[in-house]
Amino acid sequence: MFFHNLKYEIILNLRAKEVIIWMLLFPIALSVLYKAAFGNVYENGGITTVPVAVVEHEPDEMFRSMINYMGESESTVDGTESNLGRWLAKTMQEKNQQEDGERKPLFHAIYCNEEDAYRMLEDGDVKGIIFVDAPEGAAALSGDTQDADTSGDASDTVTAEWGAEAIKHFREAWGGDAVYENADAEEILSGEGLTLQDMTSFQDMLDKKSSLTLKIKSNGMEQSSIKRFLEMYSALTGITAHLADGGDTDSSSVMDAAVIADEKLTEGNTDPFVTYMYNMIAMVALFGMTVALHVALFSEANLSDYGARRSCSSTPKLTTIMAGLCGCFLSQILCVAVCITFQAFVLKVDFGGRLPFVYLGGALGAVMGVSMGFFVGAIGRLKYEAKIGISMAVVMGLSFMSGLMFSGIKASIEMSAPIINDLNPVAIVADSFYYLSVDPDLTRYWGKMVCVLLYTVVFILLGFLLTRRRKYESL
Amino acid sequence: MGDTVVKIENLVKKYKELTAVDHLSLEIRKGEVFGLLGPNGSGKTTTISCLLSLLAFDEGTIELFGKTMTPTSYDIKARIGIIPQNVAVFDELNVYENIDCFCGLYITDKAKRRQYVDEAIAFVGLQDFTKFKPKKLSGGLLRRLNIACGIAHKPELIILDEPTVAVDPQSRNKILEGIEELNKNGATVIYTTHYMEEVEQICSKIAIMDHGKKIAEGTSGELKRMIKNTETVTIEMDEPDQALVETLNRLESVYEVKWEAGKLKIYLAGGEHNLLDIMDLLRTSGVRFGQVTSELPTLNDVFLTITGKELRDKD
Repeated sequence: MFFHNLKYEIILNLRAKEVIIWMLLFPIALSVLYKAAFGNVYENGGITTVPVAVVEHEPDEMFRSMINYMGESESTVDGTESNLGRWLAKTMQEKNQQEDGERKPLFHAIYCNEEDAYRMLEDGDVKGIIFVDAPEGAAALSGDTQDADTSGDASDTVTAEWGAEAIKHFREAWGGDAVYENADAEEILSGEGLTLQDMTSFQDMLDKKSSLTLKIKSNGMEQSSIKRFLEMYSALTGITAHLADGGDTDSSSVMDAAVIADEKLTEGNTDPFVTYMYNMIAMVALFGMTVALHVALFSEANLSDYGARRSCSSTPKLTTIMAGLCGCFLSQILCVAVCITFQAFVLKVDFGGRLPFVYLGGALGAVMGVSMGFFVGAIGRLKYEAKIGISMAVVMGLSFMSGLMFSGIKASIEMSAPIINDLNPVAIVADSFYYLSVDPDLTRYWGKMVCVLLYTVVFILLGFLLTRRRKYESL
Repeated sequence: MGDTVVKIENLVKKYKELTAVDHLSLEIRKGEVFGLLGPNGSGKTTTISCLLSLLAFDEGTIELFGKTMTPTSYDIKARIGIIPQNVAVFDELNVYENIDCFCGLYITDKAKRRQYVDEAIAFVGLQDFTKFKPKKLSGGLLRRLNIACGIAHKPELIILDEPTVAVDPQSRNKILEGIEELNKNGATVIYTTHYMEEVEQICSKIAIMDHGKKIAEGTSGELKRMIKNTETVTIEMDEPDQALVETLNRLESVYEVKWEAGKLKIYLAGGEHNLLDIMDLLRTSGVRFGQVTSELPTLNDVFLTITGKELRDKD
């Protein structure tokens, strides 16, 4: 009887229009939309040229050459560029270059005085103002402009933090680990048209420790690009200065530092776009709620005619409920697997080297969603359609709070009420995927999986508690 | 007593202040088609729900097949087939799958189940619709599917809760014929309805319920004999004078004469050749009249006589 019920449970689930629409078509359509809307943005690291004003209170040759190399420039101030600056710029540019090799200017730098810069910022002609070696007064806010935190520690200015701090900063800015690779310094120097003499001559320049301040009027992707550029610049100059200035003056070490290579800390993918996909998988898993609502509804005589019919049969209620739950588990896991497979193999979303764990997390998330649906189906005497509507709204709400529609919402919740993120089932599943991306080990991933299983056990027990009664007071 | 399939004694079911079933006692014997007749809200479905151990009740005892019915009486449940008032089939499954799905709640052997499902399909005449999803079926066919789902496992006791609601006459006849055939094949049937014609047509025994109470029980004839009226003669004519009415009232079997809606209604209790006597009297009185009809009493008359109200609103 169990397998007979299980068979029809799976058939019913997979033929249900709501399941096909919400568990299969909706996530696939949303995945395609996200891929079309955000996929290339993140992959290319920003494809628009950002206009930025540069106010040099004290000329900085290296910075000038750097920013000029990164894009187009209109100079109203005389100055010179440096080979090292160009070389650093090229290193950074390579990180941001589009995959097809096309070099797009990242910035349109406009050199001007402070007054013109503020005017252009107010008019929206530039997205930010970079003050080079700005005096203390320049940091003061003007109008509704604001200082951007370009150093990651909420200070008003970006000061090149030398040495180990800079390396740490660089790691953060790049989202990966930085290691020194063995490389032939001379070869690199010749290849880049840079000489050791250049390096030595820049020792003095680096010692000046130019101070950079960014002023922006509002937050956005373009402002973030400028900020990230300044962070990377600070990090690179810091590393270079550290190696050139300290006891470690071996020229090859200097160059080794320059040819920094990424070595991934994890097998995952930290691309922000992928986190949207993680949230979507979590959402599909939690849609199991809507699938499993009928398990209790169709087993309880006071909730449906199907329930009455089943309650009058010679099959024990426990058998029909267990078969219903197992059927929902299997069909929901299938839906999640289809979603992940579509994203990974059709949309080519890079889940890193831990795809099996993404499948596992999705499957356990689906089990949790089904158990929640079983519980919701068992409480109250609302109509099936009403419960479906409530469940859909709950899942969408939880997904929104987890950052499915707007990635910043989760961070905002984390700041104000982190307990909500800790309890949000969608966030739990999505976080487990995120930990796969950023953690070298699986400790935090398994921690989230334990949370998922705890939720599952609690909801199933509550569901059984509510469906255990033998007779009803009313039908 | 070995033939007793259902025995209900002093059943009381209350919903807070409302007493839905009030000290109801019934005994249904094997092979009977037992009709539970009553208007909506009279307690028929509540009685059935208590019988099936779905509803908790306040007082009384219920026995099926000589055993007390409980929610875990799976051996008893295996012998019962239930056809609920609302159609309870799955839209996602076709006709065959629906019947197989519900039959599988009782029959585990696949080959046997396949045979039973085929027989149920043939019984309700859905052979040409086995691959149809319920939404493609008409109301009547849907009702037949609903019945097939309840009887496929060949139950000894079949409970039909108003199975012909909103069904076209053709399908209704098919359903009623089916019930008679099931009964001929040995099944005991409990049939709840507020359609007195159906009860009269198929039920061997009838209990009339109102406000949770059994107000009458017996065969159709026994119930009708409970009331004074045995025949009603209706005559189309001009309004009669008082002398004619008095003359008619003097006839031996006539106990009431009424002028209603342009027709003269003469109520008779017992007697023979009543219609001939009335016609002779009209002719000799020189009264001009049109259509004359004679009606035997119905269960509605029984209900009307006992409760003072109609069994159901006129359709």
